[in-house]
Parts: sequence; C-alpha cells; structure tokens
Amino acid sequence: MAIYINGIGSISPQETKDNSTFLSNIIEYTNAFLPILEPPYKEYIPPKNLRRMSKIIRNSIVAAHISMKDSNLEMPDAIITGTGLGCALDTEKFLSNMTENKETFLTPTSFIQSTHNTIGGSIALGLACHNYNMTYVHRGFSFETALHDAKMMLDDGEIENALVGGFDEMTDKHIILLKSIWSHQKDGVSNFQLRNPEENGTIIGQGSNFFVLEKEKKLSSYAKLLDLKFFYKPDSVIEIIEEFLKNNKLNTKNIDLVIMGYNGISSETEVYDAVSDHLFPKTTIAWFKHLCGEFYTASAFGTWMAAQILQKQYIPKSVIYKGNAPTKLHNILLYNQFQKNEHSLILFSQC
Amino acid sequence: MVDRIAITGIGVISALGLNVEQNFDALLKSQSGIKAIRILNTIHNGELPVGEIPFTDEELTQKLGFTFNKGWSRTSLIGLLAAREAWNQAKLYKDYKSKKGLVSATTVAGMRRSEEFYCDFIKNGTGEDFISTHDAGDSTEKIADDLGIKDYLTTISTACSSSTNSIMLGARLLKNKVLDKVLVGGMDSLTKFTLNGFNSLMILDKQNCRSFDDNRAGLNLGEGAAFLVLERESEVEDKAILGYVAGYANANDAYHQTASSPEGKGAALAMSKALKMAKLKAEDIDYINAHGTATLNNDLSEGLAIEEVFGKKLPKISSTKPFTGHTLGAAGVIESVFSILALKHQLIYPNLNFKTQMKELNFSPETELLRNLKLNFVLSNSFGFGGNNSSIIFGKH
Amino acid sequence: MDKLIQELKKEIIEALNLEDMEPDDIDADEALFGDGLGLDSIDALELIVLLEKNYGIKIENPKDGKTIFHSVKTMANYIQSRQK
Repeated sequence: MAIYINGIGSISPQETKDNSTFLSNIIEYTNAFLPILEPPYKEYIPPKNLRRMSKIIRNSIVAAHISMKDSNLEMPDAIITGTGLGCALDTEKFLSNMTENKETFLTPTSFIQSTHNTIGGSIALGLACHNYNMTYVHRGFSFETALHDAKMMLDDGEIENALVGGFDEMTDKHIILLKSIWSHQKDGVSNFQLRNPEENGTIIGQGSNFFVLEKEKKLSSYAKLLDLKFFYKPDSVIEIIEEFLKNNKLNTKNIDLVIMGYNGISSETEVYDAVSDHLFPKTTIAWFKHLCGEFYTASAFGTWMAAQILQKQYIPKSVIYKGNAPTKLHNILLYNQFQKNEHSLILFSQC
Repeated sequence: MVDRIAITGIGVISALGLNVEQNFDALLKSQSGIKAIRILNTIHNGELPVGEIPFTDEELTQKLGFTFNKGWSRTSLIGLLAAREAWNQAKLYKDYKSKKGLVSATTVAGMRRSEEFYCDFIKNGTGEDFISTHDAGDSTEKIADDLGIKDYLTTISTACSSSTNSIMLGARLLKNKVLDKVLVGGMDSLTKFTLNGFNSLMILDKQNCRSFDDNRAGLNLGEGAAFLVLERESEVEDKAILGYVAGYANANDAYHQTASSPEGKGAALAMSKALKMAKLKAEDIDYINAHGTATLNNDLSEGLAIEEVFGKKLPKISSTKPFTGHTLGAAGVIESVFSILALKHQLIYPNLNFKTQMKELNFSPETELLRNLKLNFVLSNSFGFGGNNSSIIFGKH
Repeated sequence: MDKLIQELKKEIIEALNLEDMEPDDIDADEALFGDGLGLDSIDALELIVLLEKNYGIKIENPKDGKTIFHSVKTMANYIQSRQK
C-alpha cells in the first residue's frame, strides 16, 4: 500500500520554513555549530501559551503546523515524534538550578518540560487531539522509529494519517559537552568546508522537521514513502543495502539519487565512500549535513530534502556531493548513520 | 485463527527485590518496599520516603558479574538485571535463528550520573564523561550488546506510560513479522532530578502513599526495571507461556501538560480502546491494576474514568504503587509483570495504606490479598505527563 | 504597600516569563487566575517559590494559594501580614 508524504514543515539553520522555495539561498556559518533561523512564533502560537515554551517546543509546533496546513490535515490520527535529547535547555535549567540552589527554591516549569514527550504532548494539547501519541528517544534511530511506527500503523489500517516529526535542540552547554566526545571542526571554518578532508570533524546542528503521512495522494503530495530499515552495528552495510533494494523489487541502477549523511568525520566518510564506490559508482550522490549540521534526528532534514527534490523535480547544486544532476528523478535512497552504530535507509519515489 | 502474543519470559527488580521471586514474595506478604532514602545522596533524606532498590551501584555491578565501571548508569545496571532474567526464562541465549529485537523505555536515562558530574564539567570544562551515558538510548544499547540483540532496537520515553508503550510496540512488531522474538520493558533509577522535580510540583507524600484514599497526599517515588519476552504463540517451542497480551491502547488526554482532566477523558479512552482491541466487554475484566499514584489529581481522574468505562459492574481494583513507589518509566512494565503473576497465580494484591473511600467515587480498592480467584483478564493502567495514557490487557494462559 | 505591589508585579512578570508585559499592564486588584491574567496551577507553584525565595514565606499547602494569590493586592497583604 502506498504511503504519501503530503505535508512537510522544517525549521532549521537554513531558509526552509517556506515550502514553495527550496534552498534557493544557502546560508554560510563559520562556527562548528548551526543556530536555528527562528520563525515569527506569534503568528503560530498564542502569546499566552508561548511564554512557557522553550525554543524546541516552539520550533516543533511551528513545523508541525506548517506540515498540517500544507496537507490540509486538521486532526491527525497519530502524533509520533522522535528526538535524541528532547528538551535539552529545560533539562539543563532544572539541573543547574537544583545544583546551584542545593535542592531548594526549585520551580516546576523547567522540570515538567524536560520530559521527552513534552513536544508531542504540546502539539496534542494545541489541537485537542486525543489520538495515539508516541515519542521515541534513541539516538540515530529516534526519527526512524517514529517513521516506521507510523508506516506500520498506516499499513495495518490502524490509522488513516499520521503527523511524524524529528527534532533536536542544541544549547551552549550541550555543545561544550558534545564537542568533548564528537570529532568536530574548528571554529572559524565554514560549513561549506565540511567535506574538506583536511578539516576532519563535524559541525553540530539542530532542527525540527515534521511530515504528514497519508494513504491517499493529494495535490500537495511530495513523495511516496516506499520503505525504511534501520540497523545497529552492521557487519556489512553493502549487503544490507542490496537486500533492502531487492526486497523492494529494485536494484542499485533503479536509484536515481542517493542522499548520504556525510558529516565531515573521516571514519564515517570512509563508510559512505565505500557504499558509493561499490554500489552507486555512476549515481549522483547528494548530502545535507553541511546545511543542517549533525544531530540525532538529522535524517529528518534529509527526508525533508528528499521530499522537496521529488516534488520539485530539482536538485539544488549546493547539495550535490558527487556527479551531475540526474536526467530523471524517480527513486531516491537516503542512507544515514549516526556515530557509526546506528544506520538507516529510507526509500522514496515520485508520486 | 489469530496468532496470539504470548509472554514467555519476565524479569523485574524493584524496592521489593532483585527478581520475580523476591518481588512476588513481598507482594504476598504485604511488605512494602517504601522506606527512608539510604543510597541516593540528597537533602531530602529523612524527609521523603521512596521505593529504593537497597543496593549500591557497586553491589548491582557485582550481581551482574562484572567490575564496577563508572561508565554504567544505575538505570543501565538495574535494566540489565531484569532483562537477563526475562531473556533467560525465555531461553533466548541459544536462539541464533530468530529475528530478535529490544524495545526499552526510560525517562531518567543516565541522569543519575549526569547530575553528579554536570556542574563540575560546565565550570571546569573537564571531568567524568557523563554525556555518553546521558541519553535514553545508552541503557538500551548496553542491554542489547550484553544479550546479543541487533535486529531492532529502540527506546520509548513518554513519561509514566513509557514501558506500557514498549509492550505495545513489541506486540505490533511481532504482528507485522518485523521480529520473531522481542524483549520489551523499561527502567528508571531514583535521581535528585526527579525527586526535586516532583517535590517542586508539591505532589510527594512525606508518609507512605495512600492510593485512592480520601486523605491521600501525593506519591512516593520509586525505582526499578522490568522486561517481558513476547513471541507469536504458534512459534513458542520448549518453554512455558506465562500469559498473553490481549489488547492495548494509547490515547492522549490533551488537557494540561501534567495534570489529568477532571473527568479522566484520556484514561477512559485508553481503557475503552484497549477493550475494543481485545474484543472484550468491560465485564470481562476481573482486576484492574490501577496507575493509582495517590496524587489528588490522578486517583480522582482515574477513579472517575474507571467508573465511566466499567459502569455498575466494576472489577476488583488496587494500586501496587504503595508497594514499589512510582517507578516512572518502569511503572508500566513492572505492574504488567505483577498483573501477569496475578493471572498465573489467580490472586489480587492489596492496595496498602487505604482507610477511607474517596467522597467522589463509588468504590474502594481491595485491601486484602485475595486468593483462589477465577481471573481471566487483567487490565493495567499507566498515565504520564503530556497526557500520555496507556492501558494494556493481559489474558490467562 | 505601593512599593511592594510594584515589586511584586515585576517579580511575577519575570518568574512567569510574561513576555511583552509591563508592571502597569497588571491591575493590582485583577484576578491572577482564571479569567484575569489566565495563570494556571503550574504558575501557582512558581509563585509559591517566589514567596519563599524572595520573602522567606513558606506555604506548606498549595490549596492555600487560591486565596493568597487571588490578586497582586492579596499577595501583598499576605506578605505584609507574615512579615509583622
């Protein structure tokens, strides 16, 4: 059964809020960290509700709203979200207050907002949506699990539509912490240099990306979601990709574009290069983390990009990693990995 | 013919004990695990009773059979103990042919380590690496690595309904044949973060909690972990079936970030939908293991929702949180284990510390251990922040 | 009393993150909860901490908050009475 991506909403470090345009203007950053381009929150959220919401909640509500408006969906049958860290800022706030004040004079707002499903809950609250609501928090599988869960329920007929989102926020303190364990670029180097092998290391990013999935094709349809697979500490990525395509009655030659999660870390670049060289030597390869940065749910931005490419039948030059723009754009494969342990494949096709 | 979801392994660790046998023994003897704080280093020691597992991280590590390593959060340690118990019972150590997965759940994740080392790190820029164990995926992957599970891993975090939701996803994965065997459950350890967080909401009782009592004054926090092994019934070989997952549902209250709606709309929806999925009528349920946290808000909201769904023919009801405390993300699966044991042994646990029926409700929970019953179906509720309400129904084997 | 009321208004705006509000936007007699300013139960808890942290006054039972936090004026009166 076909599943259509009928609405998209992206709040990211790039100009992605407006779905009618597609990366026409790429923004350059020169820190090893990409900030969000904040939307005009008051246009989407009443000030009374806004006051308590941290940025990740606001950005996710806006992205969700944009995707629902895009597809004309008023009430989703399911709200399914994925996040690697959840509400990092609220967690930090409560933690800092607790430690500095030695467990006294603590206020509850940042505590209640630190739970990972706050965003899913807030979206439901705003819509008065009493339907299925789930939040997955598992590193590089967070968004993939959400997407997979939605697909299973749509295939089963349990639901007719789903609002699915992947989001993460980065705070100043979290960046310090992640930089201590992630190989990262030096400050002062441009995000456009992410693929430069002399600048080994990634850039830390963030974003909120939401999608409306439905079983019917609409005027607003962006792409078909054909299949997805996520796998842990694989022995052979190449074998898994071949089998994945075979299960979908496809082979590597049927893939017109492969979007890969190249992130500037040389050990991960090797894996992507091996897949590209062995399986897709003649296929155009695209990338996205120079635009959104590396974070737990970056594959949601990659999904946004795949959807836009298939609907607009156009690949911006700035996202081509290798090769020339292909002559036809029918099947796209997205391959992402996170910290070498979590790998995912998402297969899309033109509507 | 429907291929039912069979339960072939259970494991649990809580303030009641280190394994199923010890937990069950305490339940039978009405021995609550809620006591003064002994291990967690907090100013609230002596003020707030909790359901604490009476072993330090070093002692828990010894029980796991490895050397103490600061790279393991307490959440991971208790999770692995419970996971191994369930995995062993389901004899999956020697299963090399099935597609095996792990759906875990946690809300505190590695916070027990993070809260110790965070401020130092931010001030000085160096110190213990806690960020690697901070996120919810860490404990899941440690368990997966120990048990050799690779085909599917994920972690759910929906506050207090988290681990009930794990069971639901596990069942769905089996029905869709994504997996053949799935380990489902969750874990949460006590932390200063949650203790102070709930304290700031002024919903902690300084006495042992009194679920469904008119004079209840809040919850006691607890810690624990539990796991179930689920398989398709037709593929169960050479092992006992402990029960079945008969139905489940998740609904959202959509009323407030933390408080439940006065009439318990989300709770009523979750219970009704679970019944519908299980193709059961309300009167088919013999026992409800309630969420019953003993907060003013939950017990009223849940109580009214139960009355609405079950009408005049209420099943027997009790909350086991006065035994274990509220184990947050682990509550759903710990109480599921208790529900499965109730079905297996045909008994119902007492709702400890209960004295006075709530003015607003038409029922009192059971206050004695009831044995030699005819139980066919038990319903377990878990309701979390963000209006996340889950209900699950277990059937007798 | 007027000085206390002005202070309280500022503290409330800060504690509850009432963006775009100035002290003059809050009427001292206006209901803080329900229809007036529209605060909720979480805000009540924030105000309980505000009272303890800034004025050393501890409220043990959150139910007492209903009368104390009715308006900025009732809050000011309560603070003054506890400080005698």
